[in-house]
Formats: sequence, structure tokens, C-alpha cells
Amino acid sequence: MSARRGAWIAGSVAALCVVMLFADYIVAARRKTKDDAIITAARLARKKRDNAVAWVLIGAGVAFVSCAKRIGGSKPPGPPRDVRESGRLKAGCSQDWLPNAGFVDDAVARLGRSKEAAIPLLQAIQGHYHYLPDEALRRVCELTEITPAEIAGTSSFYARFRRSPVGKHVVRVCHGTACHVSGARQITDELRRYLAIPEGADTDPARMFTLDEVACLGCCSLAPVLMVDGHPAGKLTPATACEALRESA
Amino acid sequence: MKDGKGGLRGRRRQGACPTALLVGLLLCLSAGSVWGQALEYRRPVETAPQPDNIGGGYKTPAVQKPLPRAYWLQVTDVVLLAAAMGVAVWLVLARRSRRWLVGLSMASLAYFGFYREGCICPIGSIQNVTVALVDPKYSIPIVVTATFFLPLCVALFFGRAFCGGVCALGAIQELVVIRPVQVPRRLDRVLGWLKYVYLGLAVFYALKPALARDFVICRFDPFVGLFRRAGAPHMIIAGGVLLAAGMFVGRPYCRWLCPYGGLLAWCTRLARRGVTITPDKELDCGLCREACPYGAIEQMRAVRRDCLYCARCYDACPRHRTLVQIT
Amino acid sequence: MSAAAVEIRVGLGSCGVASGGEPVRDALEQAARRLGARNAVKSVGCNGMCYREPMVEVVGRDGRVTLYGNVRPETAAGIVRRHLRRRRWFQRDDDPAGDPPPNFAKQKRIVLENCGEIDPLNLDDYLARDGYRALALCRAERTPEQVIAAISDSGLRGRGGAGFPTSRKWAMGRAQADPVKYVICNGDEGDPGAFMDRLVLESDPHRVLEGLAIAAYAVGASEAYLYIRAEYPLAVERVRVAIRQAADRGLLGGLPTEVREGAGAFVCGEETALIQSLEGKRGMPKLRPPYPVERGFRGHPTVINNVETLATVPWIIRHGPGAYAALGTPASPGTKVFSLAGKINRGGLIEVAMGITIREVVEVIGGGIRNGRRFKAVQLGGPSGGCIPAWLADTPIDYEALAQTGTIMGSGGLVVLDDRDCMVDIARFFLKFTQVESCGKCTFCRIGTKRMLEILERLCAGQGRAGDLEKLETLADHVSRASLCGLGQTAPNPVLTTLRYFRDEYEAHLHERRCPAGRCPALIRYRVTDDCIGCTLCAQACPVGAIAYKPYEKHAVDDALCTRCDMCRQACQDDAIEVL
Repeated sequence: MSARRGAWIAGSVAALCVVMLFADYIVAARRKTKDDAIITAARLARKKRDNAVAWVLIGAGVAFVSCAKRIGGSKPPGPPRDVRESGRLKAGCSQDWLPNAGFVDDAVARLGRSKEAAIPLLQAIQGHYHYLPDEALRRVCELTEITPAEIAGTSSFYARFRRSPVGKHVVRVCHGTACHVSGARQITDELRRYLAIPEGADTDPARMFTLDEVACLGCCSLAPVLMVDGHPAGKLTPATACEALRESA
Repeated sequence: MKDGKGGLRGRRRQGACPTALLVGLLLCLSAGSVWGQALEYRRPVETAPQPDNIGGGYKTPAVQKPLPRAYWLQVTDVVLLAAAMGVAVWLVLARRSRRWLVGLSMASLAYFGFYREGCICPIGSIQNVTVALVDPKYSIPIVVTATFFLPLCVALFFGRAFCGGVCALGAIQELVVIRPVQVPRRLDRVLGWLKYVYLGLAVFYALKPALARDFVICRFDPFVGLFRRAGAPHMIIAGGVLLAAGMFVGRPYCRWLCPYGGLLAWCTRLARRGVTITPDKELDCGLCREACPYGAIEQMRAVRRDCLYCARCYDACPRHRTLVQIT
Repeated sequence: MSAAAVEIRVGLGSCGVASGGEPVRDALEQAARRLGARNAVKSVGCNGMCYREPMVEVVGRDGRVTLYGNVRPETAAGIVRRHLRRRRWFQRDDDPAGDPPPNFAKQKRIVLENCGEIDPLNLDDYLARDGYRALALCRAERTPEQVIAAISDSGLRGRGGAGFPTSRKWAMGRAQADPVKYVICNGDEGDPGAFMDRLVLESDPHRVLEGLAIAAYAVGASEAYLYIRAEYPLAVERVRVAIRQAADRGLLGGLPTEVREGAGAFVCGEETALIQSLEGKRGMPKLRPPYPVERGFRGHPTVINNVETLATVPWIIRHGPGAYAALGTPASPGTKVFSLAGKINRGGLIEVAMGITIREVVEVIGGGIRNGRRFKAVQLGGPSGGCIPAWLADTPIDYEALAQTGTIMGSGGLVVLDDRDCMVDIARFFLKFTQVESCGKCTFCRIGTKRMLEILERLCAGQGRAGDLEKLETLADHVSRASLCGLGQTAPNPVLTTLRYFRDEYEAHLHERRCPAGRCPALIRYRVTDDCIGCTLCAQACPVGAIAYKPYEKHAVDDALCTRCDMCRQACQDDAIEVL
């Protein structure tokens, strides 16, 4: 007899016993006379009957429990809950990306109008907006001797200049030699998974983090290293890399 | 590394404190109960029916005292209690085997539960001891003192071994655990306070003067009705409901309602030994935590005061299953 | 510096900050304040022992130095107590004991002599250690020609990688008739794996400024620039502060000095590209001649020197050229700073006299290979350099001996590799780097490196074709011969050296579709062995769910989902996962 069937049978017997005991109790309660101190034969008989039914109930209960244990006793526990949490980062409020024309003017006034000021100007603009908005670049060309072709050439040549907006935090994962042999690829892959960054993009959908792979951050003894907004974190594993992001979020 | 042993930080002090507490408690209770023994046992006869208010030639029978249980049998009960706890400690801490522990639970259920019909039990003895400490006219035999006292002693040194294989109420709940769900920690903590409320109420009602005295623990014991197959219907139903619930939530009475469990939890704080998830040998795989139905493993360390000595964690450990020796 | 006062130095270079040095400094200051010795704690730069960061060094009242490595904020209070309290009859048990002294026996610290001992932003600290004395000496007692002669006698060669005699460059600059001249310090240390310049700029910026000012004096320059890469924000900030401090005290002799930041182009480490970048253009190298010394920045003579080169100059002036020439080998005198990184126990910066063997560096100074693995090769000189196998580890480190092995010294990056590093993967890594960083001007560099990279990627993916290795060699030859600048000329070096010394690995990739080191993802497979006890740790660690969660049963890796991230193998405590 399979455990399942045994459980059904035992369960039914137990339920039956419970019903019988209930019925007895209700009937006895109804029949209660004023003088319930007298011990009648009916009461004694009921007591014996209930005792027997109780034993049957206990037996059925034991049978039910043992069958039930055999069916689904040792359920394989699911994986621990906290393991599969994917990025629990709140969606960040995106900054105000509207170019403020005044900033560019100030920068030009500070750094000069000559062609030589191209890179410092671009660095200043990127430092403020975290990327190079097209409007800002056009304004630079209006105010300085730099031509649009030149600014397009310079801004596209250097790796640090971006033409597309970034997330709230910029994460730079070092891919230098020491970090490469210490597992930088795994860290980058894990961060991409953790932030759910789509293929081909470098910013997560909530625009909180932009993931950048850089050549070398110069902290080679702490490989693998990443920098979140300029603050380095070293000796990472994929798990601690995600933690470093959580702390800065 | 986290220290799995709960309790005080100073190692040197750990052994001294429980011993001191033990000695103090022993002295108090012995004094009270020995003094109580000296009093003569009297039972008032005024409450027996008298000829003049019944009539019909009724003759008042001579006062009959119910025969107490033979003294040597009472002592046997206490000895068996102590022995069972010793076996539970050995099985869980040394053998780390659940199988024999289940056997012990069934034996305890049979003897302390169905045969002795759940009385006297350490849980109820709280009330007796309370009254004995306060009321000079109330005496309790030394066996009751011992019954109250022994599980607490063991808890001071080894944790809740009593709950593990010995307490009949615990055993019956332990044996019906089929598919326990993990209760959220917050809820578990909040519900845990209920047992202290119950303890307080029990002490309060026990301390009332003689005729108003009410032993609520005995009156509201959900399982004694099952052991005796008789009792207040509402309590039998409550017992049934608790058992049914106990199939899915591990031992709700033990964790959240048992007043004696509250005392044991206090005593466990000082215990030096007990169930340990050994830090440097285990894997942090989490299988023990999933296996523990009572939420007694937090962050890979055993929470001694919640541990009910069921040894499921040891059974669930993959290292233990490959029979690697763990210290 | 008063010998009676106790000094507690906490290393706060980028490595120190990255390992959590700032909370340690805060804890030390708090503890010191409680004992009434607020000024005892000093933030210094890094002394190169990066493997022990965060590090605290205490100079006691008697001058004895005690070193504490891997300090945590919790133990910081114990350190302060131990040194600042008066003598007690007993010491607390939990006060930390000092570490063994650093292994500086094999090192000769010239460039690094102040690093980790002075507060980089405290000018008085630097002055107290003979700071700016060399510059004053030159201005007061030497003519520019005498300065150049001193440098010539010392035999100093450019430490940026090419090893060109510094005195010759200065002499050529001096000889130019143009009244407007520039000196530029090249801080665009783009080599992945090298961080010497970063450390010197962060920990001893005044030294570099002094060297730059001496160079300006020798050459007759009217303006000085420091071109520092933008990836070193701390260095940029500290140098800017140092310039302000030095200028305020008139120590630079009125020389206008400015810091310009790079923008993330490796090729801008090349002289002509650097000049283009300073002029605001795309950093594309120009044909030489004319050399920058003749016509450089804004069309005027420009002398460009590496940070390390300039940092050596004050020492040479102070101690005399003979002292420097006495170190090292006759053809390569002096010392060189190396950044030891990779699979080494004691990574960090070291400065050694030329002529020391690679084996001594790896085993004696570096403490051997991590985790007990086998020493396979060292990679020297970054993407322009090459790999030297372990059986050539007795090669002395100097320009000539290294050139014979097929590598170059480069800027000093020394990455140690063990038997789990695939040499084909290393070659691919460097070629990918140079391919991305190629400016695109020269066809052979632009397209040649791309084709070489394609071949290497196919090899690593197990899709090599017959004739690939020969094609690789031909392309390498063409690229190096037909490129304008050093990037293209040296880009094939990693490929050539690995082909020369590790051809068997290439052939295994090509013919057998096998990666002997167990590294290339497409060629390896992860498998669970019978040692598995079913603890589920690997299933929990796997980020893509390639291992099913089966408690107490032997687990299995689903090959199709596995990304070869190695997290399961690291998580397993029973060594039950192997790489095939």
C-alpha cells in the first residue's frame, strides 16, 4: 500500500473518530439533566466508548503522520533566499541634464579661447555634466577658435570623453594586466548581470550606474580593482564588487 | 569570526555563574520544601456531605484520602527524567543522531505522556514551586522540587535538552512535524514574548490566596486531554488544532506558549555547551538553517535559546552525512 | 624632525585609500587625541609595500621603526596605546605586535627615498630632507652646462621605456637657438600594470617638481608642464597643491609650472602625440625628425622626460654623478623602479639597482608565487614588452640583456604569471589593448594589429586555422617595421616573445583546441568530481544558474549555460570542481 493511500485512509479514520467524539459530546450536552452529579450507566458507557474511539483516533493519527512524513517529509529546501537577489538598487532620480549655457561661458572665460584649451574645456564640461552634450560643444565652437570639426575629432579620439549621458554613478572596472590575470573579466560580467545592463549598452535601465572598462587604474597590488566615482575598491571578488556598488548607491 | 556559544563573553565566568545560581536555587527550594514537609497533612472535612442536608439515612463515609503514588515510584519518575535528559544530551551533542532521538521522544511520550498522563510535569510544577516558596502552609514533596529543578540545571549547562527528547508535550509536537515553514524572524520574536506573559499570569494566579488560587497551566494544558483521553472539550480541541498546525509550523506551543520554555531559555544563556554550528569546519551552505524548523539558526550560528534539541541540523549537514568527524 | 617625538605614519596613497586607509587614519587620530598627542599622526604617501596596505609605520622616541601591516580601524587604538603611553609594567594582550621589518635589503631606494616617510603635502617635510637643495645648488653654483655634464657622468637614461641618455636630450635642447623652450614631465603612465609614476607623484610631488625645475634650468626653458593622465586624480590634485606651495615660497625660481590632464589615450605617452594633445588636437604621433627637442610644443624646442627620470635628478646633483654611476651595470647604471604585480605574494613598488636578476626580484623581494603555484613567466614592459619564461629567470635586468631576450624594460611594469595563466590569452590581452589604443594613422598598425587580434581571438576560441601562426609572425614583422611611432613598432612584442618561448601553447590551441593553462573560456569545461558532498555551495555561487540545487546529491555543471566565471570552483570547499 502506498504512503499516499495509507495517509488518506488514516486521515479519514481520524476524521471519523473526531466526528464521533463531537457527536457524543453534543448529544451528552443536550441530554444533561439538572443533577449531573449522578453517575448513570449511560455515562459510564459513553466514557468507555469515547476512550476506545480516542485510542483509535490516536492510532489513526500516528498512522497518518508516518504516512505523511514518507510522502513529503523531507522537502528539499529551496536555495537560500538571499542568494538570488538581483540588484535591489532603487531607481535613482536622474540628474538635470539640461545644459546650462552659463557654465560653458564661464569655462571659456577661465580657460581661454585658443585651440590649445580644447582638452581642458572638454574636461571641464565633462566634469560638470558627466558627459559632453552636443549643445555644450556647439557653444564652445561659438565662443572659441576651435572649429566643429576639430572639437568632433578631439572629443572622439580620447577614451574618457563620452557623448552619451551617464548614470548617477560611474563605475570604472580596471582591466590592466594585473587585474586581468586576477579575474577582472568575471567581475565585469557579474556586474553587468547584477545591474541588468543590456547587451551593447553600458548603463543600467534605472540609470544609476554606468559601467566602464578602463585600461589601468594603477592599483595593481590590489587587483582586481574598481573605482566608483573616483573612490577605489580593491581585492574584489564578484560578490564583493556588487557590495561595493550597493554601498555607494 | 562569530562566536557560536551564546551567553556571556568572559569564558572564565561562564562556569561559575550557573553553578552559583544552581546552588542558590537549590538552597531556597530545599529549605522551602523541607520546611513544608514538616507540616502535618490535613484535609478539611467540612465540605463532605452531612446527614442533615441530604437525608434518607445517609451516613457520611469516613474521610478517605486517595492513596498517593508509592514513594519509590515517584523517585523512579525523577530518576527516569534525569536519565532521559542525560541520554538526550548525549545523543544530540555527542552522537549527533536524530534517529535515536526520535526513539527517545517516542519513549518519553509513552511513559511521561500516556502512562503517567502528563502529571507531574515540570511545566506545571512552576505553580507548585511558586506557591511553596510563598505560602508556608503549602508543602510540596522533594520529588516535585526535583522535577522543577532538574531540567533547569541541565539547561544551565547544556541547553534545552528537556525540550529535545523528554518533555511529553514537546515530544508529541515534535513527532507531527511534517513540512515546517520558516516563520519570519520578526514574527517569531514577537510571538516569543507570549510565553513570558503566560508565565507571568501563571505565577500571578498561583500566588492568590488558597481558595482563589488557580493553576492555569494545568487548566489550560492543551495536550493533557489527549494523554488522558478525557478533559475539558475546549482544551482537547485546542490540542488538536495545535497538533494540526504543528504539522506545518514547528512546535508552536513550545516556541511561543510554554512558560517553562521561557525559564529554560533564560537558563540557556549561561550554558557553555550546546548545539554548535562549528565555525571553522562548516561550509556556510545554509542547509542546516533550512532544516531547522524552529528558526534557531541565524546567520549560520545556532541561537541556543531557541534550539529545541531536535538534531535536525546535524542530520542535514552534508559534512556530517559523509561521516566526517567534526569536533 | 625631532627625534624625541613619536611619529605615527599612515600610508594614504591610492592603494592605501583603496584598502580602507582613511578609516584607519581617523581611528588613529581619535585615539591619539584621547592621549593628548593629536599631532603624532601623519598621513604619508605609499612606500611601495602595497601588499600590506593599509599600513602604519611608527617611529618611536628612540628612532626605532615598527611596521604594522593590514591595519584595521579596530586595532588602530592598540597601536597608538602601545607607542604613546609611558612605560607600563604590563602590556595588554590584545595590543598588536609589530610586523617583521620590510625586505628592503635588496632594494636601493633613490627615487623612493622619501615615499612613505613624508607628508606629500607638507613642504617643510620635504625641505627637511634636503629638499630643493639640489635646485638651489644648480642655480647658485653650477652653470647649465655643468649640470648637463653631471647628468652625463651619471649615465642616467630615460626611464620611460626607451632608455635614451637624458643628458644628450638636454644637451640637444640647450643647443637650440630658439629663446622660447619648454620642459614637460611625462606622467601619462599608460602601461597597464605599471604605477610607479603614480606613486611618486602622490607621495613625493616636490621631488618631481625639483627635477623639472633643474631640467628647465639646464635646458634654458621658460615654461614647464606636467602631463598627468586623468586616471590618477589624486596625483593631479597633489601635484597642483605642491606647485602652489613651492611657487608661494619662491622655490621654483619663477618658473611657470602647470599641470595638464590627459584624457585616456595610451598613445599620448609618446612624445609627439603628447605634444599634439597639449595643443588640443587628436593625439596622433608625428614623423621624426624633426624631434621634439628641435621643434615641439607650439613649434618650439621641447624636452620631455619621464617622472622617474626627473625624480632621480635631485639625488644625482646632491650626491654626485659618481655615486649613481657606481650602482647598476656599466651600460645601464643606476636604479629602476618596478611595479611588481600579478601572482606574487608581496606585490608593490620596488627600486633595485640594475643588474639584479629576475629570479631575485620574484623570489627574494616578491616572496614567491601566491597560493603555492608554479612560476611560469614574467611580463615586462607592458604592451610594448614581452614575456620572459621562468627558465630565463637568471637574466639580469638591464637594457641590453633584456633586449637580447626579445623584450624591453619598458616603464617598469613587472607582472608575474603562474601556471594558470595562458600565454596566448596574455598576448591577446595586450594586442587588444594596443589595437584599441592605436591612433589609426598608420595603415599597418591600424589594420595589422586588428588582423593579429582576430587570429589570436580565433585561437582562444578554438577556431584556429592552419597557417595562423605563420601569418601571425609575418604580420608582426610588417607592423613593427612599418609603423611610425613606438606603439605600433612594439605592439607585436608580446606576440613575438610568447611565440618564441611558448610555442607549444599556441600549437595546443591551434591543433588540439586545448588550453593547457585551463584559462580560455571557450576551450575549458567545468566538471564536478566525485568528491562532491552535495553541500550546494556551487549552486548558490553560480550567477547564471548552471548548477542545479540538489542538496546531498552530486551536483553537475550545465555546459551550455556555464560562462566559465570560475565562481563555483572558488566556492567549493572540498576541491570537487575541476577544469578540463
